[in-house]
Amino acid sequence: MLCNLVTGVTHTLILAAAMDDLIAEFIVETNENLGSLDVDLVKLELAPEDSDLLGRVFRVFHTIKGTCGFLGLGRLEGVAHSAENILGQIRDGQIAADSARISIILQAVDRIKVLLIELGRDGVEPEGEDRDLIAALDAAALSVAGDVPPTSPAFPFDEMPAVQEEASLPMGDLPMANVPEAALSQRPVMPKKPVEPDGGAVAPAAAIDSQATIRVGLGVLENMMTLVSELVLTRNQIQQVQRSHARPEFAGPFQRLNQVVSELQEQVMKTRMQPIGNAWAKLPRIVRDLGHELGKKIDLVMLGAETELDRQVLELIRDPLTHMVRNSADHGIEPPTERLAAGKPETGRIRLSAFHEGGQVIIEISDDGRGMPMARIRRKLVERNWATEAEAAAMSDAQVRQYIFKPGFSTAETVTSVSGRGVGMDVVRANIERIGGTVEFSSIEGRGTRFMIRIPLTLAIISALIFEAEGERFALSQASIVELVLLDGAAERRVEYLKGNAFLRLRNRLLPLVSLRHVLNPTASEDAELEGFVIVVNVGNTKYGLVVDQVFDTEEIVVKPVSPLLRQETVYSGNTILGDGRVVMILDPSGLAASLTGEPALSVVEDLNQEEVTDTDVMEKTAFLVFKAGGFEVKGVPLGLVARIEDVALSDIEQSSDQMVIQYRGTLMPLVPFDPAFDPEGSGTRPVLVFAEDGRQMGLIVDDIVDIVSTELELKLVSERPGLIGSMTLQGHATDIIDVGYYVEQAFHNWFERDRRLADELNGESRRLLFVDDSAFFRSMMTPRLAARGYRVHVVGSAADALARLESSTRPFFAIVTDIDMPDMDGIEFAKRVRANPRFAKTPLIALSSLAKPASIAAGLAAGIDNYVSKAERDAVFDHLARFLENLAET
Amino acid sequence: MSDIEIRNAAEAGNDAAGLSAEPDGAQIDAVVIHIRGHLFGIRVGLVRDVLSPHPLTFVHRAPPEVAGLLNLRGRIVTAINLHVRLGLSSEISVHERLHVVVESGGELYALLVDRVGDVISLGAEESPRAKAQLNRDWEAAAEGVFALEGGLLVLLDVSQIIGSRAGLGLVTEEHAA
Repeated sequence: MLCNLVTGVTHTLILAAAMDDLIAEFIVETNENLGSLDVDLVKLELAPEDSDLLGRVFRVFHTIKGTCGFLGLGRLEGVAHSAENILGQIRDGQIAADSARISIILQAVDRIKVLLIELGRDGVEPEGEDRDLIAALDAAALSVAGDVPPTSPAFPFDEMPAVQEEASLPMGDLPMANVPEAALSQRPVMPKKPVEPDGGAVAPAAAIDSQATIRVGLGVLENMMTLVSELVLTRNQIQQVQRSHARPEFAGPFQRLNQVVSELQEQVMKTRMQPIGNAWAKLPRIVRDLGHELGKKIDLVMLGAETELDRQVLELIRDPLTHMVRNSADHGIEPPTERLAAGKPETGRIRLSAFHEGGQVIIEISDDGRGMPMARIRRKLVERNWATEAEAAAMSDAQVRQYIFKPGFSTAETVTSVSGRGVGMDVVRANIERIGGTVEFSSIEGRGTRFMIRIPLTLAIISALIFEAEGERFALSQASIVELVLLDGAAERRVEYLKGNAFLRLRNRLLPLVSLRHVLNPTASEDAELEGFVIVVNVGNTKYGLVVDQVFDTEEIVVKPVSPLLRQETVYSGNTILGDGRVVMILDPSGLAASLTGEPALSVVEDLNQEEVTDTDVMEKTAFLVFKAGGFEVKGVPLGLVARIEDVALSDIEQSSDQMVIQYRGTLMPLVPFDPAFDPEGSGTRPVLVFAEDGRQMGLIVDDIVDIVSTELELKLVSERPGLIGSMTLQGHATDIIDVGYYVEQAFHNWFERDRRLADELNGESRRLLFVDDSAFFRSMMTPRLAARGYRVHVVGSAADALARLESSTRPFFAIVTDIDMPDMDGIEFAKRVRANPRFAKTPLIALSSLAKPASIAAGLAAGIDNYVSKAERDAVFDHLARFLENLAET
Repeated sequence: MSDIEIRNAAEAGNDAAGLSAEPDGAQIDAVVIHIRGHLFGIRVGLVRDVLSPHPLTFVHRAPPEVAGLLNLRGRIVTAINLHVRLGLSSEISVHERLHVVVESGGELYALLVDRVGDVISLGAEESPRAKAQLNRDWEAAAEGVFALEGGLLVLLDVSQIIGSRAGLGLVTEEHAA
């Protein structure tokens, strides 16, 4: 800059050091601003009327321009000025924020980034000029801008700052003409943030308090973490000593030490955590550009961006994630015409979500595109000589899909500029596995693909339960443990066997069991009797019991990654050193579950809880118990409704008036035969399905238990026949699904009848209940059971119908029960609308959901839902209703 | 490898002596270790520690050569049973063997050996011909074979011994299979 050369000579030496610092600081700050700029610009394209957003974008360019003018960085200033010029006109409503203009502004962002990189490397702006870009930018601006003496692109280095500011004067009402002079005069005593003269004038900027944060080198944080880990281990060792030789005078100081170490550890961990959104910041831009380049319409939905994870891990997954999103956009999402032809919305959707689960971070990337083309992949296997034609044909789809992880694989028919560049899923997987993570995926041709990445929080310090099996100690994160149960043979927690798989009957539910002993020694023959302790483990929606020999106590442990030699073994998530110096393996709860998926019992539970394959079409899976009774056709009943399965000796069945009963756990349990022609006079035993409701139990006598099948709920035919809900296809057979409520009612006919009469007399109209669910199955299942309790149930199949019913009804409903996951309008939106009407502002609202995730629950509660009940625990609905009714009676 | 083969190899080694010294006459300092009467060497620079028998945590489902894990001053060390790795039988229990702790790829590994000998300088005695006669297990694990007075010494390639399993190569092999 001329003035710099002329007047700054005497200052040059003094300033050199200060300038370097300033430039370094400018680069860091600008990079941070640019990180959000890509995202904001893409958002702006979608929502051009968002003035806050526009203000934010404008401000970034404005700050860059101002700071560069001050620092004498002519090229950066020129580019930023022209971009700001367009944004200024957009802000003033002179021109529209259309796609072409956003594109050119994004190009300006790219140029600024390139210039910044070189500036950071060399300390000066690179030689060259940006006439082409600036011309394009100015062309995109209104021609009026030409009246303004524009930044002369040919001589950017000769510009005086004052001239620059004059240039920008007419485009806004910003009082900044005098600023550079003031700043110039201050140069020798440069303020920390020299140019933010008008940040407040543009709009109330998100105030960045420069005092509240400082920059700390990563090395310092790493060292701190290592030292704290060692401190924790030492604390644990002292704890051991203190336990064995208790010295009262140490008790106080030790407790204090304990507390301080815990707090220190927590704080240091916090310094390392960053929201995963930081790794996603570039994705909206990438997806947008890809969409333009490939002529596709793509929505990128990002959920859980606030999920925090270790900084180091974040850096390592950034590239694999980017690659996978790119893949989804390129290979997954179809061009609009193809989508329309397939009956899909024109705009494809890529969903990225992240959440914490049992000490891991789970990242899902799914799209509603074409899925993996199995035929094409098979062909590719043959072309690549990885398999013969016959072999490829004989492979299962799952086997074939695994080949996408093989080096050199790419299915793109043509090599686009986007993918097919030789960097494949093999590299992605290797990178994720390098940090101890795993990648799984599922794909349905024509419907989409979903990838699930699990990353362990290595280096983390966790609270863990220590226990023993096979003579070795193990640790398991407390976060995934629900409770501990002692296997003492007590009736209410007995191990039962179903099709060779062990279940623990716990509070009337069947919990699948995994024997740790068996996991550790898969080849050893299974023990006849399971004994010891059951650790009830919860991974996401899956629950199972881990059987161990002995349980010790909990300890704070430092998770250390396992040796590369052991990394293939998915049952371990890490290892650690205990207070007594012993090395123990840390078990991976999902790895334990996965290592047993081969066993049907567990896969049932997993499938039952697997939320969906592609998330655009929510597909719930439900496990059915398949049995035979009264004829050859098989019947089905949702497994979740079955409390127990007993073998009953026919000789034990008694007849009481016209009801069959049996002595069962100290009470008489009514029995109902499924087959009306059932003859209780025979001999031998029969399986009895025990259903429990309201503390009462009844048994349904059937002929034979056939299997457990897990499938989507898809009632083909809704039945009018009493005792049947409808029929559906289970493993290729049309299967009648029985109505449990019908049989329960048969068994307790008298009780319910009395209850209902009483209810009618006492409450009359006040028991009107609105029940909303889009699933015919759940409607059929819940309605009779609600009715059996005396509620006047009004059933509707959609939220829109429910709103209409509410509006049109002159008589009040005492409560509303709604499903959450419904097409068109979901339960949360429904709740908001209900609450918006003052008539229903206080009506109790209970939500039933198969996806009871914390975020969803929070959203539901915020929307005005009173109680959130998981479909798996649906009986809780009755309790909540009863309570509301009581409250109603009191008021 | 039988004893006769070793003798033959030793003779071959003597024949070749002097023909294949390190190009610039560089010497390799190695710690001599004994396993089942065989001599092996590990480059001194890789050795972090030599430990007396140490309590090991057994790891179920681990590859067979992993003898267990041990705690070395707060670091977790993977113990590798060299007998298994080299296909040699053993009379001494895992818990009575010495540990030679080496570093590879930032991780610590303890190689279980019967006995640890002196540090010697290797160079002129290298015998490529003897190396060519090693069986496949050994050849992959050997960096070189040296003919000493007491017999042949196989200089172990530590990264091969550990890396052949630890690398990502195994993943792709499994999937190709």
